Amino acid sequence: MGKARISTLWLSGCSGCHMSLLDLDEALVELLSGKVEIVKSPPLTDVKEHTPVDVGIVEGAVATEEDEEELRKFRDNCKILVAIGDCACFGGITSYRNLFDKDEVLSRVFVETESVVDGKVPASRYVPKILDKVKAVGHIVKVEAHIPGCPPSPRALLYALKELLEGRIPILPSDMASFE
Amino acid sequence: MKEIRLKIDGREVKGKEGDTVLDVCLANGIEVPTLCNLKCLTPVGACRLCVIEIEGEKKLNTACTYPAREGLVVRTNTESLNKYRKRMLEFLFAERNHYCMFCEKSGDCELQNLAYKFQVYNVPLDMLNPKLPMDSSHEYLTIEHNRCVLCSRCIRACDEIVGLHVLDFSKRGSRTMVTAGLGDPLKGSPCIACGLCMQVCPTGAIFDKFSSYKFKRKDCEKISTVCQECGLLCPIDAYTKNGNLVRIEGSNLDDFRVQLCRLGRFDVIYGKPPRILRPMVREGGELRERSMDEALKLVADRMRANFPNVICVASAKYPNEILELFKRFATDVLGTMYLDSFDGEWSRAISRSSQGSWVELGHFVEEESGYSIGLSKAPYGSWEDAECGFNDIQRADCLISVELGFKVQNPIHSQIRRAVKGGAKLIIVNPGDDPLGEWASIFLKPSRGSEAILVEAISRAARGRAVDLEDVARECGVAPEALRSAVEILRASKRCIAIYGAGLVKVGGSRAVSALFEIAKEKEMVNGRFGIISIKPSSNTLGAWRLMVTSAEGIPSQKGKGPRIVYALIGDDDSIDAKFLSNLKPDFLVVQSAYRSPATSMADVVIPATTWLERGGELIGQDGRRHLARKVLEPPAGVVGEAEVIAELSKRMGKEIPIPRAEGIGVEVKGR
Amino acid sequence: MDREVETEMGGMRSASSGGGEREIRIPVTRIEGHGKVTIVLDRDGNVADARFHVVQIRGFEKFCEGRLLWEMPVITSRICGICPVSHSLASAKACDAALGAEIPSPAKKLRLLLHMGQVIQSHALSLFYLSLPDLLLGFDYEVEKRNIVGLLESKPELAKRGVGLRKFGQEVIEALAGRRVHPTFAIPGGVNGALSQEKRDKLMAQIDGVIESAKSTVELVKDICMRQDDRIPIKMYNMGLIGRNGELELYDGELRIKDPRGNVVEDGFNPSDYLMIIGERVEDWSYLKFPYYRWAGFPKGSLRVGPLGRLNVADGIPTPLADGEFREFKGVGENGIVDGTMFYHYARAIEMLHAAEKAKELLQDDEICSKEIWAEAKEIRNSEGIGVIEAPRGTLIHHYWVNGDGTIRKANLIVATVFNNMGMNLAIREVASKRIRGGRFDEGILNRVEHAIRCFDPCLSCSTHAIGQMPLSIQIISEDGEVLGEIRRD
Repeated sequence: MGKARISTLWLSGCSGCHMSLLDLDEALVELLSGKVEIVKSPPLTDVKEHTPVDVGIVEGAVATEEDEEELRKFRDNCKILVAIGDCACFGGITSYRNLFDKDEVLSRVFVETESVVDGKVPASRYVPKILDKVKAVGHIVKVEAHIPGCPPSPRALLYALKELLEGRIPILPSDMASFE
Repeated sequence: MKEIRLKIDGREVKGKEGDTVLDVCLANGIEVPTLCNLKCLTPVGACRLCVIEIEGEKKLNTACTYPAREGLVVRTNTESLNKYRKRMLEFLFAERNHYCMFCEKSGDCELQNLAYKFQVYNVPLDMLNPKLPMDSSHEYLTIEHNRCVLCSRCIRACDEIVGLHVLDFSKRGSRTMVTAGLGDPLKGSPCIACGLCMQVCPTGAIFDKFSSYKFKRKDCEKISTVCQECGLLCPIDAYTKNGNLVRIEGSNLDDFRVQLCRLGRFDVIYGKPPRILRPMVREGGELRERSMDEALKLVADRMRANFPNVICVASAKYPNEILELFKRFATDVLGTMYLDSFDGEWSRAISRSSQGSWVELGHFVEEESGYSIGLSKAPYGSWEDAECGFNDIQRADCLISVELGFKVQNPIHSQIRRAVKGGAKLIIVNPGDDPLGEWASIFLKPSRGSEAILVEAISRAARGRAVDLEDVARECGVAPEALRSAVEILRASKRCIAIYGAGLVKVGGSRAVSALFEIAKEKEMVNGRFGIISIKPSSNTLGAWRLMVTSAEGIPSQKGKGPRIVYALIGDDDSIDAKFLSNLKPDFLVVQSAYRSPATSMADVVIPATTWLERGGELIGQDGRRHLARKVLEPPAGVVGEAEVIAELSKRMGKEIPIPRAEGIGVEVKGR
Repeated sequence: MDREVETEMGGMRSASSGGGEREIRIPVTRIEGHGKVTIVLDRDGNVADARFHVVQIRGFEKFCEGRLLWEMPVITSRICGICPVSHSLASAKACDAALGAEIPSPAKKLRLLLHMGQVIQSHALSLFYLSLPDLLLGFDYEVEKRNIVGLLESKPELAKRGVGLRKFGQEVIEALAGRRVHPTFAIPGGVNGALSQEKRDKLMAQIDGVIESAKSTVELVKDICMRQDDRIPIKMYNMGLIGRNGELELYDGELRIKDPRGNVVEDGFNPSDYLMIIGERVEDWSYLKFPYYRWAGFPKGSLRVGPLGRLNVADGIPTPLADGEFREFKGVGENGIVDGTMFYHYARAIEMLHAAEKAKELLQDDEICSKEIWAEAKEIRNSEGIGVIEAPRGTLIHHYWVNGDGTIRKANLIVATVFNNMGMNLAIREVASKRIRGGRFDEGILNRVEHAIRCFDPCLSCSTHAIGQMPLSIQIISEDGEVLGEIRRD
């Protein structure tokens, strides 16, 4: 049997979920030298293009038009999509800005902050448009499995990976679940 | 109660008539999820998580409100019920802003635990993300509306247990909020900071802002003990982490004793002054820090040079073990006659009152000729056994409350409020403001110092003795009509309970106590006891009395020959009146105290002492029963336990006394 | 694949042969975040400008408003999954300041130990996972294997050393806080947990090995850096916290700024007054702001922070092995300033050694297992609180305005990667200018541009606490902004 091909995607989030994945330490090394091939992963590899894979793992919430576009492409390229972390599963802390008006947020950050001199909200075509409301991954595309946590524990991620390698859609047992 | 039989999830189970289906489930170990139910509160069926299927009924019912009855067939755990429950949880997550990652309650949250149980790992509904306010105006409690699931536990607890009903719903629909008054901030509301709402809150909607991520049950050690702030000795769970106290909760979630007061729940953690950590010795008029060895040497030298002319006074906040040791030190090592507790005056007054004398005689005495004052023999009976418990307050049809004197509102106030809500009449006698003022049928506010006369007059009039009420009213500065109404209420009452604080005893002594007791004697017994409750000034007043640490006669103020040495064991007792010590005219004053106070500034030697959290032992509480307190914390570095200090002093005095074994063993209480 | 790149580039060249400015955009990977680079070419096909776009914003500066002060360390640690500890520490310091709380000495030592764990793990991640694959395997190594996995295959001992160093750092964090990512440990007034003797022993048992490992990493990285033909020199202001004697300081201390020639322009500057000397500009093409030294103006006053900036301003390092390395390092530069961007790696390795030594010192301290870990602080004594620390990537500022009830009125955050924003732009420009002549360039440029960015170890989740994401693509546009083509690797 060939290696399972896995890609990861990082939308609007803090990268903590990817760090938790790295926190598998030796277990990750073992997986990578055995059953798993990481194809595209922003912090780990240099592959830029979406390539068809068996499993796609996505961290972060959908906060910009670019997030949405990337997510759709990613979804099209993976057989199973796994959302990891509270941002991907629920919207998480990235969605906390939904309690405020988008323009209020942008204006605070780029104009009103005390250290800013001559501020303006970046609006050129080089920066993607910010969505009015931050959404969970499952609100945009179909998701096969959710592994919540902020971040999910390495143990929960390892469980999910092992289930996937066994050909099952992981459903995290209640005793491994954590939203913090 | 009649036993009934039901079938739940295919199992034959038993319940009692009057149980709800949920009661029967819980009693039989059948787990039914719920967010709004608590045994101590009236069920309301608000969260809809305890839905069940009843055979023969088409709709789903809530187990917490459905009365169990003979022959009922119930299903609690079907796939469709669980699907329904999961959907309910999803609604809750979609409706408000549940950001577990920065919620103080995460890990201890009932909503979160249910989400784990039902594997709510995403929410397939639109998240509403409403922007709701957070009320952090209160000194300790923050209401975070974003995390509220509208279960109404806090509202019910504040109403049904605390009797205040500070909290209730405001607004409608999904914008419904739990607020004080009409959407007012908690600060400025009648909230008494008892913190019960926080304890019953299933989510992080009501939390203590200062505990800031220090408290998570799984990281803490839980010690079940009693709060020693006052004689109520409320059962508490003290949570410590790394040897630091982080949270205190009421242990008994099943009934009203779960309520604590702000002293016991919050102030004990956040409101205490800095501790005395090193012994101090007066040199050239100033207290200077010295080593324990130097301080004890000085104390032992002075005591040795002057004994038996040493006066030993202890706070009755100490448990029996330490009081007993203190007594042995005084009698066996120093050989002094002068031993007392700081609240001795109170105990002596009660013991000399008719309340005290009656019990000593052990039978009913109809006294025609007034009060039995000034008995020559000290009443070594258990006069406190005459009193009913504060749990009995609900049984009274009339309550007379005389200057309770608590620093903050506590479960006794709640009990009185609940009794009033249940129809009891409340008469208050208090020269000052009274927190229960607005609950009173009659609030008599006599001029300060005249409360004893007023009480005596009421007692006489209520018992049909001749009194010129007009005259008394004028003397005491109360409205004559109010006084007459109070007397009428008392006369009409069948089961009356009089509750009095130390203030009355101080002003009126045994005479005033007798006056109240005489009323109680004429009324029906309450739960086999008299309708009288004295609020004891310390957490172990009765222990000190029974152990005879409290002197029966008091300490004579005239000095004998030679310098007078006073050894005051104060600990963390903040009710000590420094005048008490100055009246003893000490030539050399040794104070063992946890905090700086007027007493320590008078002292010649100050030795650090423990607080109640740092010592265990047996106490005899407000209710006359023994309670075992467990040690919650180790004393801070530099503070040596009282037992060790006394033992060391004894050794230096040339006589070793055995240290009573640590907490949990107790001492044999001999004497009174 | 490489050929395809060339072809496509060729295509773009021809597409723009009509003249006008052109842009090259590269999605950047193997950095901690999302970003894009645009290289603007002039009519002659030479580099006119280079821009590093950050395309994410989350809005922490807004949504912290109304939250409680006591929640801030836990909320702001979510800014970044790589250096959550830095945010929680800067935040807790800001909260201490608002409360006027003096934290107990053991609490401070525990915070420091946590910080050292963080520095070790973060620097190890940057070096071994993100940068050494380029440096050891070569910029032109197979793209699928030019990563930690490839490193594990070709240099397993070395790669495992990196995994081990990062793991130790994470273990320190876990021992103190119970978890590795987003630990809840620093709280206003102290920390919320003590270190058990058992865990202390466990860390002590490893520490000498970690120091040894860090030492050989310095040797390795020094060697690599010294051999680089292009050190990507940039003239910039340098900033960092320093201790009382001018030594490297990561947690407390005062700010020192040196101009590009090495003259001290600010010294002993109270970081709480940062608004007097630091401003931020906004460019229309990035969600990342541009902080600068106010008195030098923008963009001249752009600041270099992080390992290179810190060692440039410091006079020494308060641990012996790292100090020895520091002396040697200083020898590379002039007037105390080393301005080769590639030397970030070198400086980072020295700092990792320092962190390991400092961790040992702290673990040996008698107070480290003390239970006296927080000061009871209830009252908001000051309406503002500012916390400044040196995060692994550089100076980190948390500034809160607090209401009397403990809620946050306003928040301002300036994170390390934001400080380095201009530095990254300048480094890209420097790399690109050397490799793009007359519109011609080789495929190595893609990764070299990325590597220039990686030198700064930008943590884009941090910097985009405010918004954004960063794949790097090379895009060419005409002078009037029309897109003529885009370079992709595949």
